[in-house]
Amino acid sequence: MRFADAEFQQRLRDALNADEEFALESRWFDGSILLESGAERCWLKIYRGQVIDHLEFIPPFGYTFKLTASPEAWRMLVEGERTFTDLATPGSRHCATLEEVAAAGGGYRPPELAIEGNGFEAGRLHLALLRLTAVLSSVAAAEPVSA
Amino acid sequence: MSHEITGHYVSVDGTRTYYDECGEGLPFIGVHTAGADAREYQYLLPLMAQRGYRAIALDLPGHGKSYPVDWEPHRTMHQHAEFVHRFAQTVCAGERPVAAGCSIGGCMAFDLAAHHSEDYTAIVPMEGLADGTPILPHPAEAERPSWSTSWKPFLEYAAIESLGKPTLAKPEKVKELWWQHQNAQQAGNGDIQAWASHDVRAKLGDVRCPVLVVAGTDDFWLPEMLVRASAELIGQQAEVAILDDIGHYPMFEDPEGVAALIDDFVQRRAAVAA
Repeated sequence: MRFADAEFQQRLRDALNADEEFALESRWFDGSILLESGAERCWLKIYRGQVIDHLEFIPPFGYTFKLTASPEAWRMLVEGERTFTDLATPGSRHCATLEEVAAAGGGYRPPELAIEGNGFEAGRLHLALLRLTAVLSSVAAAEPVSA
Repeated sequence: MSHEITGHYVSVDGTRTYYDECGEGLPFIGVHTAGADAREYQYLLPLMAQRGYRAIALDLPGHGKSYPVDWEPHRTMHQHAEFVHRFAQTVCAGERPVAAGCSIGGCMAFDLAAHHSEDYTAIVPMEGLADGTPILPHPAEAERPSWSTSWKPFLEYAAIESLGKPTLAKPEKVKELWWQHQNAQQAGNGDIQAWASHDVRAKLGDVRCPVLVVAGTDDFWLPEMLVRASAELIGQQAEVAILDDIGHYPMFEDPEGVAALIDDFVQRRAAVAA
């Protein structure tokens, strides 16, 4: 999966615009969502349930909120190794030892996939985000294998 | 003998409390997960009845068809567990039931083991821990708008996405579990708050009945390491069963396997303990 790749972004945009559930859940949203994987970015402008623009960088007026994670965390998500809820929920669930659980901030250990920015809008769009990540996984799974 | 589930009401703590019942014999009581109700046990109850149990599952206060006690949700696990204990004493008076629970129900099972083990033939915590603090933030935070504006969908999908992968691949089962989590918004938050503050680790040194601790390999909420650490506190009275391809809802995902597992445990261990 290559967030900053123009063809990938176009496929993601097309797939989201073809997804009825994403359109339904995001139909009252007028804002932008940034997907961030390490240094790669995919900015999606959404209006009335449709992605009407996309960019490989953050425009001057920023974004409404972003989903940010390491490339490894995104891989686990799109390959079904971890669920969105698991990755996006804080807590010490994936530590190797009890000592690490105790030392890692307990239930407040930061999530591997963080939602940052306007939390009100992100919360309002919770179901749309679940659908977005499902569509993202489908697009990533259909990607041509790179050399 | 018919193994049809019938619905009943009983008054516990002055609260009209609903439960499903099926079969005759040694009482088996199932306690559901956060924000859900007795329907999670609808497949297990007839199977336990076939094996000679009077199989029961209640709606916790504020869930399903049970009213909350004094119109307030429970916010500690001990409140929940003591309610379950009084329910057991009321509905199964003079008997020593098998008490099982899943998720918060599993934590209640640990609480029952800590406080009332002599009153039970066996106790079966599924997907629960002796303490609930390290695996997620304190959910009272989730009621703050500055933390989350999506508590209800979060709770629903926290439930769905922790299913085992085979069940997660069945849309009809996913939808069914989703509907089982539809009617307990305030009570459901109280349930998870109860999880976060739950800690009976210091009280499990004198458990007097056999305890079967059950967890699925696909449940991301409960690392096996923590499950085993909870079981070890009980010592020789405890056995651990780790179930492959099962998530956060063993009795819903594999009712046949869970019925066989619990019955085998009761036959082996309760007979020895009696």
